[in-house]
Amino acid sequence: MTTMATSFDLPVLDTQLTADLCIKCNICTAACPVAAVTELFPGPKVVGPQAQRFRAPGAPVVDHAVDYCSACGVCSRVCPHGIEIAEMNLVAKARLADQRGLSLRNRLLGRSELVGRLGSLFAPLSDLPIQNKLLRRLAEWTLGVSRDAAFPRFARQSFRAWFKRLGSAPAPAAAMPKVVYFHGCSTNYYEPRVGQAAVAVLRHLGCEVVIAEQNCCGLPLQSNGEFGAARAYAHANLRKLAPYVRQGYVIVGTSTSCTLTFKHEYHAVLGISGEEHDLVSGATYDFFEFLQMLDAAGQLKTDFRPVTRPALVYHAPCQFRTHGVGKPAADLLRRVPGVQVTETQAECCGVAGTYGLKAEKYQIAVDVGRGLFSEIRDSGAPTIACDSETCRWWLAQHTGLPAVHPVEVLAEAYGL
Amino acid sequence: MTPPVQARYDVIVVGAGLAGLLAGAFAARRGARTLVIARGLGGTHLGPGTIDVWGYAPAASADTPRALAPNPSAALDALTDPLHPLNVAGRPALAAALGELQTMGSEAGYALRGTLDHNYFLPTALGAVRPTCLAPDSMVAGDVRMPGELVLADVPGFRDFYADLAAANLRAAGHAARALPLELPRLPTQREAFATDLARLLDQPAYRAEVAERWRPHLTGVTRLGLPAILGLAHPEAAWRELSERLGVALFELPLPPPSVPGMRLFDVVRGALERAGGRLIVGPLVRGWADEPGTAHGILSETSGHTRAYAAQHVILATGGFRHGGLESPAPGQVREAVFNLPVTTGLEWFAPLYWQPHPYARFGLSVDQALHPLGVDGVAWTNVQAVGGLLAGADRNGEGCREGIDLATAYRAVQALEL
Repeated sequence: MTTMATSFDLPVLDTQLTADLCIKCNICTAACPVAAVTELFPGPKVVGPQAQRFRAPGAPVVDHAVDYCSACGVCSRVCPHGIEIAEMNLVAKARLADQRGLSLRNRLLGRSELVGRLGSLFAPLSDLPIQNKLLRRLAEWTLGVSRDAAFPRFARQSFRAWFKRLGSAPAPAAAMPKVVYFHGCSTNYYEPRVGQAAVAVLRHLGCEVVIAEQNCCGLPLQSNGEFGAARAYAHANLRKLAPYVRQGYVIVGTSTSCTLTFKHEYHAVLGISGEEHDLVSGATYDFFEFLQMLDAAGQLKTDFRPVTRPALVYHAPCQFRTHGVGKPAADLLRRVPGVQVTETQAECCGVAGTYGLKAEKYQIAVDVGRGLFSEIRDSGAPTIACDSETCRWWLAQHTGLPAVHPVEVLAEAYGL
Repeated sequence: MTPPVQARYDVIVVGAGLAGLLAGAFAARRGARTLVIARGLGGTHLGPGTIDVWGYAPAASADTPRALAPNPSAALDALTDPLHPLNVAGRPALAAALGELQTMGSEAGYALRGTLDHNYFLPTALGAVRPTCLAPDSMVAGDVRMPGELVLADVPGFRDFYADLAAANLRAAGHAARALPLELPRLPTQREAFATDLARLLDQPAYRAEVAERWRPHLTGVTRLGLPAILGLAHPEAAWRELSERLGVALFELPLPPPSVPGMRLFDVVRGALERAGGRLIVGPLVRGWADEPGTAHGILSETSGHTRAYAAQHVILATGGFRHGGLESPAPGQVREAVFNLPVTTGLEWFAPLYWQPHPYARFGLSVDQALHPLGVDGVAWTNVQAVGGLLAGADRNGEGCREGIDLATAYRAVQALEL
């Protein structure tokens, strides 16, 4: 990897050098969901490989439109030449943020672990300012957090606290992989039920499950331009998880953006490499990707029973698609007797992590999601299944339908 | 070291251009558990969204222009080279593939018109004339042999189509043509307007009504009106039909430089057929072959997001294209390699003709295959469960002969037919 010191120590990544491969075919622009709804964004080709030639190390970023990239990643996937456009844009956005100075809003949105820890300490009291309309108006005016964006409620008991009290598991099957479950901030502080379902399913399949010490994956900080703080989280996670991989564990997560961060963003965006990185990145699986592999090895139980809400509309989040493994959750849930899965076509729901929570981006995010909201309503299914928490919250808000992680349906199908 | 198997498929197709998508759709529609996996999109999005089967009679000499072929079927009767991909696949495969693609189009509400014994002669965005066998409803009224002046809409502020230039070139070739300035409302003001912007606007009935209202007074005496290819992405059939009726003229589209709106529609038609039949499409990973020794493949290896994933397959169909699409690579001058399994490539001593517009020998480089499209190994023995389709095959000059999509269709069909699913 080539590295060059810049004003704030951003390396010139392999990622940025891929800009040279661009032939300006505009396939990325045609696929970009943000450029499709707002002219404030000139599209991935323009702010990505085209603008990249003006981004000499240390020179100021002149192209402010890159801030409207939501980093959904569809451009990088459709590019026939392997240009890492979304990743390149993230680096440019971070430089822009450094140049402008980070807003308090972005610092807050980047710190999901801190917010979660403080919030759940005082839950449900801490829900009040977030759910109060007047205070949200104030927050929009002072901070720039959209008053209309839905936030989840803090769980009264964190996932880790639940797991500590959980009785010991039955002896794992010797032939089954040993699993470190990476819960991420959302499962720990907002949706422990997702982690509970994941642990139940993994144990049902005969896997040993360890909840290792872990931190926020760092993605929210990375998305909001705080690469230094994001790298600190990355290194903390690599230090804590690599020893398990050396002992033969795999890392399995239910938060698809966290697992993608381990696999891809640490290297492609944050520029991290080395032995610990390669171990953790290579051993990380998103939940249904892991089950798909067990299935191929003949290690997946299929003792399914009918579920209470068998009609599902499944949305594979943009960040799940970047894993590049298809839609294993939809494939597996279809094998549960009675389950009907409608798959959505839209590439992105719009919220893209914290993008849609920002006052100046909220309407764009709603417009991006509009097609998906109708797809979901038109499906007639009363329940949304989706692998990403921020997408679930956003889709539930904009369709009025409950949104679950597919593992919750699977746990019920196993009778857990 | 090969990673553990991630999933198992009956058929894995590498490449999501027209040949790959169609091979995947044909296999899935015949009940095979099918995965189409591709580095990115390209084949369809860079093309005009029409199906060329055979376009040109051979030029009498290097100095005379190619003659347009009015009848692809008759032109193919005269194609005697047994190694040409269209002859390897055979006429029945070509005819059946055209029919099945037309069925997929109808199922998606996007009719592709035409028959194997007829070429449309359609104007290009530069005002040249291009023969093609199948075209959507929204293009066929542009056939230059049909009566009526070709009036071309000049949309101010849209930089991808110059009606004056196209009309001047059409006139120079003897066709009655002129440009007519027609403004489109609500174009972006803060950046350039993309064809996709205009197509998404024209997907909306209210916008079409507004456009018709504005344009009608300017269309006195116009019988047919050419537009850049922007008539809808999600609802192209409705966009074309409704605007034609409201304007009272025969509307026709002229395909534009990429991203091609009609190419994207064609992609959506075939992708929809693939997915409705239960096939999977993965776009993004870099794909390498998975075989212990030449002759038989275990499947493919997918390099994605920090991992290599192994996918096992009964059959692998390569639809990775030629040099411009990544199927063939030239690591050093004079060298050629096939990108996925490192299969032997049939080449020639000369790569280039002296002049740019002459047919270049490298266009015919590619894989040599047996009758079931299995590529031949270095020893001349065919691989058992790998097939090659589309632009990866040797023996055709797809642009020069005007047979690009015809090869995609016929070979995709023949490859899947040979699997006897």
